[in-house]
Amino acid sequence: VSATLAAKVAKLFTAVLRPSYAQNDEPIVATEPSNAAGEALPSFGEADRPPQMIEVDHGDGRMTRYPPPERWDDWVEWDAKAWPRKVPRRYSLIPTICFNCESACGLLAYVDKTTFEIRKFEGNPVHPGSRGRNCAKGPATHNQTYDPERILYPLQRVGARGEGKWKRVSWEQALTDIAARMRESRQARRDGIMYHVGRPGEDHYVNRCITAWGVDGHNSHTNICSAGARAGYAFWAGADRPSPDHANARVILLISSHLETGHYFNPHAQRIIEAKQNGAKLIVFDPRLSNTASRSDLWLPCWPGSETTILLAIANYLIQRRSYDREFVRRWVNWEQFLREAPGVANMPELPVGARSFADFERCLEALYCEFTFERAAAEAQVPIDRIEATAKLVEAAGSRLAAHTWRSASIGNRGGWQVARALFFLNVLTGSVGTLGGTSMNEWNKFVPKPWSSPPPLEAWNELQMPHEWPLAFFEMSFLLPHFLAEGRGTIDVYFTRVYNPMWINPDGFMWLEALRDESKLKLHVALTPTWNESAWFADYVLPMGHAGERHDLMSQETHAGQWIGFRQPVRRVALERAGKPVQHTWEANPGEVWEEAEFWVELSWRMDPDGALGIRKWFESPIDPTRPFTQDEYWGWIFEHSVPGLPEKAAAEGLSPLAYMRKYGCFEVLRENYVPYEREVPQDGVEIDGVRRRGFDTPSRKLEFFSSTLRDWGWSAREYVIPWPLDSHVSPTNIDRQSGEMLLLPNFRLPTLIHTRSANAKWLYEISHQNPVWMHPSDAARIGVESGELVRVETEIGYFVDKVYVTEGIKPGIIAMSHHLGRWRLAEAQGGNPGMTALARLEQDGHGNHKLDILEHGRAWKTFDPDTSRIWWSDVGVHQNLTHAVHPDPISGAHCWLQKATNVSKARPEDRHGDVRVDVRKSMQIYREWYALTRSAVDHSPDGTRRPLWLKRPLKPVKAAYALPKEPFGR
Amino acid sequence: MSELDSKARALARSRLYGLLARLLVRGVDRRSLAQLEQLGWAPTHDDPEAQFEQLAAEHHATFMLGVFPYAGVFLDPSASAGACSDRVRSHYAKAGFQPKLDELAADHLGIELAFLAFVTGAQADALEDDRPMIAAALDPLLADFLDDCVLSYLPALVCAVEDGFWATILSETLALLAEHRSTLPGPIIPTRSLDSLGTGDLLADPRTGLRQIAEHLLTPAASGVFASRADIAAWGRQHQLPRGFGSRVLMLDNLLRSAVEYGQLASLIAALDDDLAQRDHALARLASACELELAVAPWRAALVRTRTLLARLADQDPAQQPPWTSKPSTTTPPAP
Repeated sequence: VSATLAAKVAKLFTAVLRPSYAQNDEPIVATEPSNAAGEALPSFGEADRPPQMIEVDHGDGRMTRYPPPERWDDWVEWDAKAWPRKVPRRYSLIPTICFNCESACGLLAYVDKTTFEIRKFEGNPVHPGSRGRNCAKGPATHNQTYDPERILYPLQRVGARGEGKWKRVSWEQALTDIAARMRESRQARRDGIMYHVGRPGEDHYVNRCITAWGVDGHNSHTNICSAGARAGYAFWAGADRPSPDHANARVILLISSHLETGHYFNPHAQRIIEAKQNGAKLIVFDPRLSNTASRSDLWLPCWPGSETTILLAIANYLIQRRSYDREFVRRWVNWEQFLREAPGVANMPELPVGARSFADFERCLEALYCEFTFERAAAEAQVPIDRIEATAKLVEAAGSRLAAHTWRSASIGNRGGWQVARALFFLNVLTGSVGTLGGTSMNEWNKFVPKPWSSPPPLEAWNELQMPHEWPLAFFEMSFLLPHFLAEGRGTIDVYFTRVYNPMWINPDGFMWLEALRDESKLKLHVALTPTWNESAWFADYVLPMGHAGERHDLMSQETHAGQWIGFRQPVRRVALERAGKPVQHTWEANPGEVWEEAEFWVELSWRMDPDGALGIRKWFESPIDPTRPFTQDEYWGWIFEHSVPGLPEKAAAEGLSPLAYMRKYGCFEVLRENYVPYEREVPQDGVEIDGVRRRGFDTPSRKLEFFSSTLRDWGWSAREYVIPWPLDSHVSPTNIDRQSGEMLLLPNFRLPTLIHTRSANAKWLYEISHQNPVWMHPSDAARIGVESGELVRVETEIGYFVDKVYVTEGIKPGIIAMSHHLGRWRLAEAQGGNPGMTALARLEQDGHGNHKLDILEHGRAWKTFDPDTSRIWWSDVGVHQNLTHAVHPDPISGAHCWLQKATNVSKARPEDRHGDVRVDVRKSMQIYREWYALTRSAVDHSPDGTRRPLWLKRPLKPVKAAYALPKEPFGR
Repeated sequence: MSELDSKARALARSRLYGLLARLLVRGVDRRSLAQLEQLGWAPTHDDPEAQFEQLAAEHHATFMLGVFPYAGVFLDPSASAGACSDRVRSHYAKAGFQPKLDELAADHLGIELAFLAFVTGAQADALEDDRPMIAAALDPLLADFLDDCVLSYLPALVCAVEDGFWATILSETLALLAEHRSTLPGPIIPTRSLDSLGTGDLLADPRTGLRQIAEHLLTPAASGVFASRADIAAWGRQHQLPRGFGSRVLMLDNLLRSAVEYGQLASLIAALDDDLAQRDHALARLASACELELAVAPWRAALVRTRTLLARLADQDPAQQPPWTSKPSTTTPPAP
């Protein structure tokens, strides 16, 4: 060959023969344990190539390829990312429970046996609820674990609150200081410590701790989530949550986009799909063409607030045709009480009560509901009448197999939304589909919460900041009004825990929260327990890093179907290390950095709060084996699994395992395969007599299903529209929205299946799928305003405005604009407080007179970290924080924040408007709050018995009866 | 070259072939990028992360959408990947090479380079063990393989990839192989794969329509050229003719048909002929630079035959409506 070519090749030869070249010739393989999360990408060891890889093949044709549980201790598989090289990896498969939504789906963590890094999360095939399947949020737990921006160490504020300066402290320092503040508060009063929880993620553990502290300190997010539905169901049946048996239903009626996004989305969706495959019909009420609506057999895009009327029109159809389950109604509805007590209630027409027989009751039903015609429903809902008729016929045909569900949509959207749930369950009652195969059960029948060896006695306290006298029937704490209450001077908080909760972002009226969080005289110590940065944690005094799904112990059970199960969340790295003979004392030693788990944290904190036992707190945290030290997680869960879960010890023994070892191996246990009509169970005492037989019945005062609610009557709501299922005028009904003058209805709370509130801004995969929340607008409205998709609009609310892009679509009803929940996260510092690809860099300003501004300085962007994916962020729009502009709308009965907003004006953005701008006047916030406050009927004025709340109604932590006495000095009196 | 002994040369070749095999099979990763930098082959880029993305995208665009680096695509009448698998496997079997192929066929250039890395690595091992006879015995095997399965089509593949990083890699690969072949026994034996095709009078066949002409042009072993989707799209753009999308045959069929319908067949053929002439010049340059005239000769001969075919197409009197212009497409319905 030519000399040129020869010389060129010779040069190449010289280069490749250098030792440095050969260094890169082989794959880099880790050889020892590491703990990279938050600091580096994980690495994994290379296993010996097994003589034969296991092929998972089911004889029955299933296509699943889950590793069989007998192999979970030592599983070898090819590394897919190494393809086309064949690199075997050896894993310990540790089951845990997803912590991203409330469904408690099973996960399997693949923990590398060399490095103990987590390779991936997949589904747990033996989990009875999720059955091996997960939505996008489950596997994305890996993103959250290896998030480059995660908080790895306890941080304490330096400088002023919200200044953004932090110092790292030890757990010992944090525990000692916080425990001392708690001790001091507890010695002074019983309402100075507040635990404000977003996602509980477990069923009893923390409640036991709070009860042990002896304070009325449990505060939840329920009033911005499910209070409306809870009230509606509770007034009927005592239990406050529906549990539809979707898989066996003949007709599924959803008032939501539940199939794709609702509570228990993954476990329910798979069962809805199964039912549909078996011929079930799906009916969806939603003004938005959600993916669920698009999969429905009947979509009713009704105007929000009209749902109750439609449901009662269907009820009327069944009543007039006498096609309802008359025997079920006769046996289980409190019709006798109705006939006795309803006459004379305000607005009640003259009732044909006759001799007060069941036939008389049926005539009353006919008389009461005959006004709910299909024509009326069609007109109010602005839905074609034939769809309502078709819905009624399907419901009639469903019989006892009607699975119905409402949770966060109409029932939390509208003033009086609790009546939506009540009217929906009315259909279950009429069709006799209560707790039946394919029907709708109550959550308590399909959920199992085991008890520990000892539980502290009920609280002897009542915290007026949480359960004020003006909302005696609320479900539950009036949590979203906390800043308004503080502003009114109702009280102060000594130690405020926000736990997996971002109140300033998630609640309406966020600038009111900002003012509260900044006020050290009212909120004296703020401790944020969070796995990741959030807007509220920025204003905390301590930020304590808590673990993700694979970094903590919790026990969960959810009513995913007609059975009962428990799921065990585990710190998977700790369990894998212990399996490998490497002991771990505290979970933070095995977790990334010093990320801890709450289960151990609360024990250590409580111990320090009462080191000598003088407050009576310590004894609840002592080891049952050695009372001189706190209990361990193994002791706690080991006892529960051994003594408190029927069937588990036997099942474990059959495999030669202890109950704890069984749960560590499988991560779940099925307590009951199915549990239908438990109210029919015969009981020797209590319960209710039905046709001469004493049966368990329901948890209501009458032990029956309460069509007529004496509770509402007795507590100030003695009128037809409250005591029986009846429509209430929504604050956004057509009569309250003046479309001619440019007003529109803002539907601000539809969920996306790929995100979870504010907590998924640390999951790169999820944000790549969904990162913006444009304003959905019908083409007719867009034409009127003069905007096209992608252009900016200014949406004015009762208290301010925001600026966002518009998405013009026929998938939303004219007159309504809609925005998804979750998006619009922001941070106040360039390099801290959130991932730059998922949050916008923002600036807060206020003028001292109530005017607040949020200006976006920079939208999302790529950024440099050890994870190359962060430099691949290709989007910039990370959404707009609309909740800041929402006025609070506390329902006077359920206490729910009624999310639907009146958009007082929607217009093309002005030249000075910038995408993401938010402006709010908190003086208007307080004005709207007071307008809604005026609707309340205080227990002080209406309590029938000197108590502040009906004793039979639920509370997450129920105090002693004496604590129910009306306050001696009620606020405002 | 002379200062390296035969063992070092074998080892160096093995490493280079191994790198090129990895690059072709799975693109650039951190390790191979480090090696490319040492060889002076790495593209310059300000942002290494963006560079990865770009190279991955180019790898996909070049070898998944553009040109298919399989011997069968170039040497077999079916023009399909894997069509020469048996042919290459017979060589692999002689050396005891048993590749784990997963999705790739045995006649993928990356696998062929892995085979070369394997054999030259074995030669290095043999020389390390002081067994030069074994190393020498592998040389004829290498020569046969290069002539029969690699150099027989690689020049045409190099010409089909126009520019960019991967074009550079292919050119360097060809140079390396040519140099290697020059050290092996015997002269290059030109491929005969192209001899049996391209002959015969396609236009005289009454069964021939535009579809058959398109198929002929898109069979490298017949036409001497590989035309990618991008090539067809460029011809269409040049003449503002629609070509649709789908398989390459469908696109070219559509393009020819619309050229006939819009009276632009002659100018389209002229453009095709220009392209073929440029390919011929490129082949000639490669042959000269790498001293591969014998390997390239069958490809240049095929190009000559194709250009003759195109000239005859252009000479047809449009008024006479030659039969192949009126045959309906087998893939598109006739216009209403």
